[in-house]
Amino acid sequence: MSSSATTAPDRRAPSRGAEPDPRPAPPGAGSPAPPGKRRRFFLTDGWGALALPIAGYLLVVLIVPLAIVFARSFTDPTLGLGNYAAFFASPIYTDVLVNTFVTAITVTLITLLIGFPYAYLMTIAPPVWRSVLLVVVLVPFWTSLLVRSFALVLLLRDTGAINETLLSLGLISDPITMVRNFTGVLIGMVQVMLPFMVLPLYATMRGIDRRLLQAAEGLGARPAFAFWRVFVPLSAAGVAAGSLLVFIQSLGFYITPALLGGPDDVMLGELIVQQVSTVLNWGFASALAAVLLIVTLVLLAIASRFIDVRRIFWKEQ
Amino acid sequence: MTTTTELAGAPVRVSGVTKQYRDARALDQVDLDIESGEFITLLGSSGSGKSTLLNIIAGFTDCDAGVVEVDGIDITKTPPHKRGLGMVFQHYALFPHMTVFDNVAFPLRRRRTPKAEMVRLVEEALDIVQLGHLGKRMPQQLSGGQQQRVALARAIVFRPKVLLMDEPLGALDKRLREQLQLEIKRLHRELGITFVFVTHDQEEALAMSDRIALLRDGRIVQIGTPEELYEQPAERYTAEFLGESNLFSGTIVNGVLPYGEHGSIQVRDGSADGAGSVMVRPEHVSVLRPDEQVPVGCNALRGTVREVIYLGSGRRAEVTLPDGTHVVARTPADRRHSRLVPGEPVVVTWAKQHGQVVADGPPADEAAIPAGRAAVPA
Amino acid sequence: MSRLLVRGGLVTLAVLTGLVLIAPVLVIIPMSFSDSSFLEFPPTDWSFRWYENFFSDPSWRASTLSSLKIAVLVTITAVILGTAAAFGLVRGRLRAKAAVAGLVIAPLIVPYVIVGLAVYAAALQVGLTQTTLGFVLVHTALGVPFVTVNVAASLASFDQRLEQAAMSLGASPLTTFLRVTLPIIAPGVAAGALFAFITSWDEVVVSLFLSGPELTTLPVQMWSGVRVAIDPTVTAVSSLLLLFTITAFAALGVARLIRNRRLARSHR
Repeated sequence: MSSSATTAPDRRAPSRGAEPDPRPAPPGAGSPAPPGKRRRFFLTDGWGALALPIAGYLLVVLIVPLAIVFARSFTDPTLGLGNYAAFFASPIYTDVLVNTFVTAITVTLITLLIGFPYAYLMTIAPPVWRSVLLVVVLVPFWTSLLVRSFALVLLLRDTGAINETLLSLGLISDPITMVRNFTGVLIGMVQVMLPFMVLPLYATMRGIDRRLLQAAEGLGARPAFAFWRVFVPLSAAGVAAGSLLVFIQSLGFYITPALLGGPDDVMLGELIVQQVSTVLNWGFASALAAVLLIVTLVLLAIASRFIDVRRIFWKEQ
Repeated sequence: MTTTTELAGAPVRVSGVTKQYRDARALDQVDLDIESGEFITLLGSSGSGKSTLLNIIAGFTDCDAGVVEVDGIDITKTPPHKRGLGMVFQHYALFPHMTVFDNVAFPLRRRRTPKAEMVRLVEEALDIVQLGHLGKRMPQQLSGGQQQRVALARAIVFRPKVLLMDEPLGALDKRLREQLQLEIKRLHRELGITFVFVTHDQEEALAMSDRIALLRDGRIVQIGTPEELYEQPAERYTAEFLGESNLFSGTIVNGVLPYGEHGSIQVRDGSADGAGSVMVRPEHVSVLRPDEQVPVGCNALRGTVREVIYLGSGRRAEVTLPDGTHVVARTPADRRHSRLVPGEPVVVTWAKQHGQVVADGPPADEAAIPAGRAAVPA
Repeated sequence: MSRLLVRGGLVTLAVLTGLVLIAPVLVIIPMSFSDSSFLEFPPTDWSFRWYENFFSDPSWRASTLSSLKIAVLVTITAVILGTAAAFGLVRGRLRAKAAVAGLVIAPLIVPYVIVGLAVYAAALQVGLTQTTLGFVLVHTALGVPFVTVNVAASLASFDQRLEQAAMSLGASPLTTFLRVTLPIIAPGVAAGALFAFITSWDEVVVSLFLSGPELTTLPVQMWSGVRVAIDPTVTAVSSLLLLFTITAFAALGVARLIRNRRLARSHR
């Protein structure tokens, strides 16, 4: 899925205080609601009504089906918490849950470790190289996730390009196993998730005034010290946004782990598909989905206490 | 320069216009009669309601009560695009995706003017604002002053009878502003249409207007020619808003305002008695040495020099009176003020006909001032 | 000296990262021209046989056409619904606006596996699985956030006095929208439309649930070509898709570049 490339921060909804004589703001400085619009409204005014069709649409097409799934997890096949009990009673299933978390956390950390210096390099590189670095991040972002995961299989498998090359160069005598195991999952997911880390990081770092670093050094701080005590804290918002995006998306991944992982690397997403398509156990699949969704929403709720989650999804001006 | 002089303006009449926002009254029973071809300025500080009034005339804002008439026709309920009034905005509001020519042609295209006629009118309008050669440019390629001229051309090309201008010079620097003031005046003379001009800049209002309507807290404080407002302000607020003024408040009895322990201030003959203030403009005040003779018919108050500033065109002296009041005097540069030094005892004098009695007027209406904004000092 | 070392390290890391990001994309193109039925790299013999297979095989052709049809319809509905929503959210006054805004981005947050499960269950109830309508309904929900987010960003920086100016010059509200508002926010709408199209066109997970012998989309057929038995035709399709998306986004990028250049030049 080529997700939110341009879907970064801010929704400057015009919640301006009432001001009887709106001083014309410079063009581009927010949208001054025409003065005539300050009257009372019941549910919405004329403009607001335009947001209602999509709200209704998403309620019917998305939210109601989700609610039904949620309900079904308690009613299918019998009323009660049976599905959840079955899930938490069996180590096979709890292992999947643990594995999902471990994978998501590892992927987040690796993308952060790679993405942070990469984004930093983008901010200090000359304009031409900056564009090159940006395009390198954006090209995979634009291309089908399926295609990329499939390409990685071709590249990483025992008879794949990497192993063939290393073997023919005599650097290794046996192929290194890089697919159908945890390594494969990690490589694949990091490859897929890296843009989601780099883009918010870059957006934040670009806004950091580099003169602050010079100022710190001018005050006697060593460059490394200035970097750690000035630059890193200032980029925290980008780290948080990128990590949240990567972590939450990793939790629900299906395609990449299914293609690159082995039997021990099953994640929740894959288990849900299995339960529906092969076992036809709808109630249990629904319970799994409910667990995954609740975990995702709880994480978002926790994150929203520390960072402005809306800014991550709504585009910044 | 062109044949546009036969265009006529139209009178605009605003009666009883009231506008209430959620927590503030922006306009309160405003009546305003604008004559055909007049250049009227709505002057006021921010929050006074001047822009709201203009927006109501333009049709961008509905009023809660009252009637707006143009050329004798009630247009209170007419949507803005059917009012046929020209409008110029502070930030030009040129369409960024159209060339200068297309911007100016926009109102003519809406009116389905035939092609040849349209081209002629656009070129004529651009010539009037002296931008005839820039039709193919995009607005962003022009300077601020040029952009505002395009906006002017666009607002007059369809020959509206009334041109509304909302702080059109507010975004320009001082020199450009003065240059455009002259051009707008010239345009007004040439077109003969009614101009309604909004500004918070009193100098601009004095320089350009036939009449000024000074607004405060949603009401018109005073309306009149620039001379009337400057020389005979009806209220203290007007005196303070336009130019610099010295004000002495108290109660006037028989044309005299008792002042200090043994001083008094005589005012212009025929002024009414009662509580109020006496206003004297700094250019009418002279500063004398204690040994100099006070001319006949002049008020005289003792004080000490606080500061003398050289202004190029003249000098500005501030004199502190015994009660702590500061009196400001302005004199041409070649006069004696140059020799005054701070701390020196002096006498300030002015002819009694320059002492204008002004009413104190209502204090700032708290209800009309939106939360968070400081009251205008009264 | 140490600064140079740090720079060297950064550059090395960036080059490696770039390779990881780009290599898979690049490796698939030469493989698609292989003559072998076994995917090999580098290919020993070259041919167009997998491209020929893609264009001649009726099932590939059918799924491609289905995907195209669905994606085009999704783009249209998502642009209309999403643009309207952006106007409502940016300009409107609305009770529970935050809730509506949250609802609009919900499809970005809920994992697609869960969306797939939920809409599959619902579609089974109303008989919309394996139908174009079912796909369009669901993919529109997935694509709408991109339209709304991009248009809202354009609208937030749009100067509404331009609309007042147009109306004062005699343009009706409709003309004002068509001649002034729409042209100025067009880049946001175009970006949103492109994302909505790509979202539908590339979508695998939800489509897996909705597909079947009656109606299969291209990504789903690729999925089975990868999952069940590796069909080298997938390399050809992948290469074509790469070409397609890269062209589309490059066009968007170039258009933006030209626009920025023009603005930059005019600011001199």
